Amino acid sequence: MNSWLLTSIIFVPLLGMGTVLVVPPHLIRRTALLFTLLAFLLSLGILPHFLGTPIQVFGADYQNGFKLVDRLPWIHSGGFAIDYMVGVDGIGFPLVLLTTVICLLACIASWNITKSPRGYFALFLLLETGLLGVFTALDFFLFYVFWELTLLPMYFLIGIWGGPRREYAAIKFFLYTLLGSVLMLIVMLWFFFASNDQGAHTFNLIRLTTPGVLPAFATHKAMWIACFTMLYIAFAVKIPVFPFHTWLPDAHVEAPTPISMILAGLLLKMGGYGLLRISYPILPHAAAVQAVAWTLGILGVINIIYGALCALAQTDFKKLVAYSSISHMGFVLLGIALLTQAGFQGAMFQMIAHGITSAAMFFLVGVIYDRVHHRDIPRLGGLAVQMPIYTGLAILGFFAAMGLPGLCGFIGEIYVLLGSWQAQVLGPVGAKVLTVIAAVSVVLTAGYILWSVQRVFLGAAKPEYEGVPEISGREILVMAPLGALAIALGVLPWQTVFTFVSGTLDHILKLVA
Amino acid sequence: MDGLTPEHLRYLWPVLALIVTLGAILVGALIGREGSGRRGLLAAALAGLILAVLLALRLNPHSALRTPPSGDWLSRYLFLDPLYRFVIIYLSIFLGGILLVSNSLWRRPTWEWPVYLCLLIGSLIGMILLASARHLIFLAIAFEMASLPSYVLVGFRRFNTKSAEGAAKYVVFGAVCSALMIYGISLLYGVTGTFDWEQIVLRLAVEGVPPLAVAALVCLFIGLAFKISLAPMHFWCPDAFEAAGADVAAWLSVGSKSAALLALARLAHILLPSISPGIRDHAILLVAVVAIVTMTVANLSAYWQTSVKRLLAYSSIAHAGYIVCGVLVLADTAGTAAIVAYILVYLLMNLGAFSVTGLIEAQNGSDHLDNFVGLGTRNPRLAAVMTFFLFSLVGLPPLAGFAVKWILLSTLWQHELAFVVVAILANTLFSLFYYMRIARAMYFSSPQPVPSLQLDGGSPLATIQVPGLMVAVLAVCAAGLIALFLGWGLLNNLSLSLFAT
Repeated sequence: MNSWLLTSIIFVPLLGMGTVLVVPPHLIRRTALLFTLLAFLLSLGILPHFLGTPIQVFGADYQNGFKLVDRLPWIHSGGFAIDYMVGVDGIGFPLVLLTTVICLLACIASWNITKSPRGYFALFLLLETGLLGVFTALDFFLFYVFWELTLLPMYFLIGIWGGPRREYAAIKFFLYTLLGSVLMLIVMLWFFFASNDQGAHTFNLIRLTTPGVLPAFATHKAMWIACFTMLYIAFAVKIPVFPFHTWLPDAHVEAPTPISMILAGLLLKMGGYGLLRISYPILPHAAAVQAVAWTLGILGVINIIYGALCALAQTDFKKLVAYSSISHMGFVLLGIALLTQAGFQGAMFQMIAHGITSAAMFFLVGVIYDRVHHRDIPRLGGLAVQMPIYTGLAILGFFAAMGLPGLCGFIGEIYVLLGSWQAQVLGPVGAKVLTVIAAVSVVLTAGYILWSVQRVFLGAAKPEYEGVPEISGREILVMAPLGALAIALGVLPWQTVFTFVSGTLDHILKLVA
Repeated sequence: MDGLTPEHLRYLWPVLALIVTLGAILVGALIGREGSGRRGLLAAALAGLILAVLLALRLNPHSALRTPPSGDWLSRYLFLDPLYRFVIIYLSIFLGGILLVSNSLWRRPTWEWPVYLCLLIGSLIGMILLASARHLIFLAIAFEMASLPSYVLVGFRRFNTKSAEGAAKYVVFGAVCSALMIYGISLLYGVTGTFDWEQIVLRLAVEGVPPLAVAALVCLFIGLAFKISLAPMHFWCPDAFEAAGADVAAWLSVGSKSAALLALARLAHILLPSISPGIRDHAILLVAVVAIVTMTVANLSAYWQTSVKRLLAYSSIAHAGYIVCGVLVLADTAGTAAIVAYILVYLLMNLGAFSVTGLIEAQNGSDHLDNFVGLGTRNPRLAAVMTFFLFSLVGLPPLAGFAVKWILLSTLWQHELAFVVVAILANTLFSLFYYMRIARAMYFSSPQPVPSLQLDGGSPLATIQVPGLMVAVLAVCAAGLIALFLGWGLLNNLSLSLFAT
């Protein structure tokens, strides 16, 4: 019954961590690469299980859409019933694939780490296991364990290998996330002891979505609002949503390049994924409350506009990219909040697209930083002359993030805006107002991206950057797949993403409606 | 049936074995040549502890928490239940670990070694009896038996002024609190005419609780709260731990606290369900407030410490605050079971953290936080296990510190003590800061010579050497934390089984 495929994918990086700790020093990088590659190849094995029409693949309702479920009893003692249970559906599977891809590329991008590489790659692989676990866990307790498991390696990766203010950034990241975790723990207690699954309490995230399993929640409005709020804060810290976003610029600026790629590309997705996996299916009544939709929608729009305005004001290239992440992740929240089919699909697409473009942008900034050792936009300029290939790839990456039609950033944003325009949950006018405000960000985004492209790449070549080496083969190896994915997702959005995610998203929407 | 039948004696054998060991060490020290035989005495002490564990394993107590009044000689003084057996095994094994650590850290004249061993074993006997006492006079005697050797152990570094100061504070505090406790016991005797806890509870349940008895019960609580180091009876703890060697601090932080915690849990569990609801609710509120104040004060105070032993002392006060919340659960024995599970894991984390601190102190001359700087590069393995202990103390998965916190929180939640759950979680958040200060020192700060520190064991940049026995202790602690997380169902089963009827 258990296929063990997901289990192998999750624990291959952990095995890699063990191996990295014992191999001789000159083999560390290659070992890490081997295991991330192995995880990637294994994750491709999920793909065949999702081919077919949505109804064939995902069944008639949400609870039947899970594939490759591995289930083992873990803790069954004193009333607890905790299983090791992993599985993927339309929202888990693309993120698993994204994780293995980004981790593989980030591993290649880590090649020039010289400060204690053994510790670095060990923590890196531990982080990958944590991420894969979060995106596959179907038991709330297990989900929580993996969620926390991403914390420790990230804390050390920022704190040891980061920039000058790394200590501050690392503890801030840790504290914010732990605040969210603590609230999630309360919800976990609440769900577990309120649940009644054929007479027993359950942590099973699929069972918890079944009507009647949380009997007390069906009637007590205060209860679901309280739980929804606590879960929301836990996930909002990760997304991050204003006002819980302030850890992100610090963490991003201080983290080493590959870790920024993972942070922006994958860790932020844990928040959006959590909303779609836990908050909305388990507390559909709360999600349908107009005040909740208003709050989340407005916060999403604040994120979009505020992030873009902050990005516009930055002179540190990496900080600019960090704020652009806040802006882009605002679309995820807006798309989910307004409960439309197009919005849900756009939000999911945006998560994947942002995973690709943010990883690309952070990598591109890292490439410059490695060469000129600063990220000050006004001091840069004219790099197109010295580094033409790099400039070409960079413009591809930045335009994808900007949302140029034909590239991946466009699809997510346009779907979210289309969805929110049609949304009914806020009454006839409310959603349209939010949509119009959010649409303004298209101009702002174009503003900060074009402006920084102009200041960094265009203009006369500066003498101090004479002889800056062109992008290396290894760096092209990282950037090329990201560029290719950005084009592929932009040109074939249905074939690459929507066909896999729409079935599950429709089911979640059906639970809410 | 006042006679001492072999059946009853069996229950005393483990304690008798410890007393014989104590005597044997004293005799051995007298007849041995001066300045030799440290290893032999250690082996003797360990053999005695193992013997006590084996004898305890042979016991087969069946009743839980309450011993049925069988009328035999021994059970008038002690609760001879599975928890009694557990305490013997738990504390004896723990002391075995402490002795291995002490042996590695020993820097004092050899002739002091047997004295040291005797004090530790003496306090062990006191703690075992304290945790199981039923007769209140017996409780007071056990309390003193556990305390007096502890005072001496804290002041053991005689020529160190800090040591003297810490010991003096400990003695004064302890004297006041034990006097209060004995006063409370005498008042209870005045009210009820008996020293037997079951009888006292029976009287109070039937005849109601007069104000005098309330005062007496509060005095009794203060005495135990001193041992557990609940606020405001916690002030001795940081001074005493800073004064003592790290091994003694580890012993006191886990041994004497868990013995007193179990005593409190046992007494409360018999008393509270029986008495009138009005008094019961007040008692629960009192304990809850004391627990919450304790953990909050400790976590906030810990942040400013630069001595790692003081920092860990505040950490142990905070944990005492968490653990004592298990007493609040009265409906069934799950609360006491949560306490048992917690102290089991707490042993591993504290023994580990104090042992690493002891190593640093022994080799760098001070337990100042600056001595941890750069440990991540000086000795990566030692830093890694220390990180394990710290994260487990915070209560993060995948370490057992999380599992036991989860057991405690879910027990509290089930019994509608959600506000206590919130307080514990908020404190977990506070506590992150100061535990991470140690992690930060070990990993993030780059090593620099610190001239202001007084060094007698080498420079702070030197590699830390870890003696073989210490490696074993640390490895067991760290591996135990992971194993008990992955298999915390077993831990939960074990602690629940102590109370199964």
